[in-house]
This record gives sequence, C-alpha cells and structure tokens, in this order.
Amino acid sequence: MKKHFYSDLVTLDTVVEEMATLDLSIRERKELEEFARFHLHETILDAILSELSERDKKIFLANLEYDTHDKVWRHLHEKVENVEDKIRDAAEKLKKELREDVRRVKAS
Amino acid sequence: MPKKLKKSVKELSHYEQLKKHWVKKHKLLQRDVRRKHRQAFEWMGEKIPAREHVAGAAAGALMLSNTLPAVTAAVTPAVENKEDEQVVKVDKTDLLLGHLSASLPGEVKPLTHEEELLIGQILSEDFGIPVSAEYEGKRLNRSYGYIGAEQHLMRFPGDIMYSHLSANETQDRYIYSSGMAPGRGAWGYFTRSKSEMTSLDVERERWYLAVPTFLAPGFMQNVKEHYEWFKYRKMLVVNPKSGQAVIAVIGDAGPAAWTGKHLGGSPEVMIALGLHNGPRKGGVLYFFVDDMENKIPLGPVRAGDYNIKVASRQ
Repeated sequence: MKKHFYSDLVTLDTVVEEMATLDLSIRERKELEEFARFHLHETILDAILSELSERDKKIFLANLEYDTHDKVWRHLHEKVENVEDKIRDAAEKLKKELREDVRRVKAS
Repeated sequence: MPKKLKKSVKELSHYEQLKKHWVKKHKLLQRDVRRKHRQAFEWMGEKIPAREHVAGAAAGALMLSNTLPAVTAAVTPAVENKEDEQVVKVDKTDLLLGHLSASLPGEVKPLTHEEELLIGQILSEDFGIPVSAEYEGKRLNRSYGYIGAEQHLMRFPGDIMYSHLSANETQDRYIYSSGMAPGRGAWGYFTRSKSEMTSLDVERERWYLAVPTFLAPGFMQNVKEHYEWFKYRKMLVVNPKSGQAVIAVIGDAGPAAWTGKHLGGSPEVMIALGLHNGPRKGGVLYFFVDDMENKIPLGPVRAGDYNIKVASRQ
C-alpha cells in the first residue's frame, strides 16, 4: 500500500472494521478497501485544494507529484491554518459516509 | 446473444452492491474535484516536464500515482466474468488522459526508450491490456506518430465496394467514400475467395493498420522472419488527445516517408480514433498487444474495459 503524506494522520480502520461485517471474500474485501482509499485520496486533495490560492494549488500539486512529503507539509503549514484538523475533518466525514454505505448494504 | 437483464438489488451480493455504489461515487467525486480545481490540474499536466517523469520509469510512474490514483484493482475482469455475473466496468478515459498529458512530450515525435517503457506501462494499466513498444524482440521504427487515412483493402480477388460493405456501412458517407485500394495489401488477399472468407478475415480487413515494417530495426537483416512476424500482429492504437482507442492488426505496409504520416489506418480505424474528419490525420500511440490466447477482439476499446494481469507500476 502506498504511503501518502497524510497516511500517519488518518486511517480507514473504522471503515475496514465495518466492512468485516459483510460477506466478502479476501479478494473482494481488498478491492473494496482499495476503493475506499481512492475516495480518501480524492477527498483530502479536494479539502486541501479548496483552502489554497490558484498559485498555491500548483505548488501543492507539484510537491505532491514529486512525492516530497516534507515539502508538502512545509508548504501546507505556511498556507493553511490548522491543516491537520482540516484533513482529519474531511476524512472523518468521508469515513462516516462510507460506513453508512456499508451498513446500508448489510441491511439490504 | 440476448442482452442480460440487470439483477435486482436483492440478487446482488454485498460485494456487488457496494462496488457498484462506490464505482459511481468515485467517478462523481473524481469528476467534481477535477472540475473544481481544473486550472491547477491542467497546469500540472502541461508544466511538469515529461522528461522529469521519466528520469526513471519506475520513479516517474510513482510520481504520477500521487495526484492521479489508479483504479486498476477495482475493475471487474470483463474477459473472466462468469455467465451470470453483472459486469461493472469503470470508464478510465479521464484517468488515462491525465496520465498521458503528464507523460507525453509536447509534440508528436519518437519516444525515448524510457518514455516508451513508461507509456507502455500507463496504457497497460489503464486499458488493462498488456502492451509494449517492443515485443518478442521486434519493434517498429517508432511508437508515437501521425496516422493517416487508408482505403479499404480487397479481401479476396474480385472484392468490390458493393460486396465489401454492409447495407448500413454503405450509408456511411466516410466509410463508402474512402474507396478501395487498387492493389492488394502487403500480405496479399485476406482469403482466397468470397466463399472461403471467415468472420476473422472480415474483422482483420475492417480493423487494419499499414505500418512501415520495412523501417523496423533488423528488417533488412531478416526480411522473411520480420514479414511473417508482423503479419496480422495485434496493436493497441490510442488517440492521446481524446482517449479514443482501437485494437487493430497490421494488414499492410506503408506509408512512404514522404507522406508525413508514420502509419495508416482503415476507414473504420480512423472513425474509432475520432480522426476521420478534417485532415484525416492525427498523432497516435501504437503499441503491440500481448494476447497469446487471442482473448481481445478487434475494434474500438475504452480505458477500463479489461483487467488482464499486467505488471504494476508501483
């Protein structure tokens, strides 16, 4: 699994736990976990980009593209107040949605 | 084959239900994010130099994955689906275009070895079909070039436009007006007679490419071997501007260098690539398909249609 700059900040453990209650094969579970990670990645990108000016969006994407986590964080700390909280909030909101999706499927 | 009825929610497994919902959700989310921050993503595609992506093929690929996560694992294998399984395919055209715009040089020109490796990997993953610029030790003179429109080819002695096209095809102005090439293709007729013609012969002519086999490295050293190897060799051709793509076979040799085109496509190929209007010419990527078991049919293909095992970029 690829380590992203936010990997130490947020995990999908609660979604994975919820998925454990479904009737899934190992392959199916892994595939769905992968999807959850894609959702998380897009959601965090959106949350951060929404806080940045057009110029800073480009700097952020370039830092991200070159996979330099230190640079990403240095830049974000300069430009976004309480950036960690904003990332956590966006992730928590998504995780809640994903857990609800899982529960809905289980109940169907 | 009759169209399969969709299963009701009750009949779908947990996996199928959740996957269906999350595929849709992911597409919407991705589209919204790209739309909301379009300027920044477009800038990234244009300004991050391709050569930096390919400083090492693996490193370049790794970088691409940071902002444009792949969804290969989430695609249901269409070629392996069970009879009663509902197939959920993810249209990965947007993803493909993002990957290509960040990796291709600004102009249509021969790719470096590293670029070919990286582009081959991107196409393999995004289409779910193993492809490469070099296959079984053979390659063409380039893998990124201008394709131009060719005419229909005679499939058997006496094949004429009237018998060549179906009633529907005759109504298509472009298909009809392309006309028939006066001579045979480089490998002769596709079959000996109309009565012996199979659907495979029909498909091969419909989806044929003309490539300069005579310019392939090593061709002059072993003409016979190359001649046989290239015959009906399957290729993936991709229009990197639109993501339109087609699986085609090499069915003729050409075009000449002076034409300014690097390969040719049948009228149907040009339509599939969205290059049949205007100058009937455009830049395309063309890579050999590894399809030993002949599982991939000829014709238009979309990124995300398959999930045949390919080596991962990560």
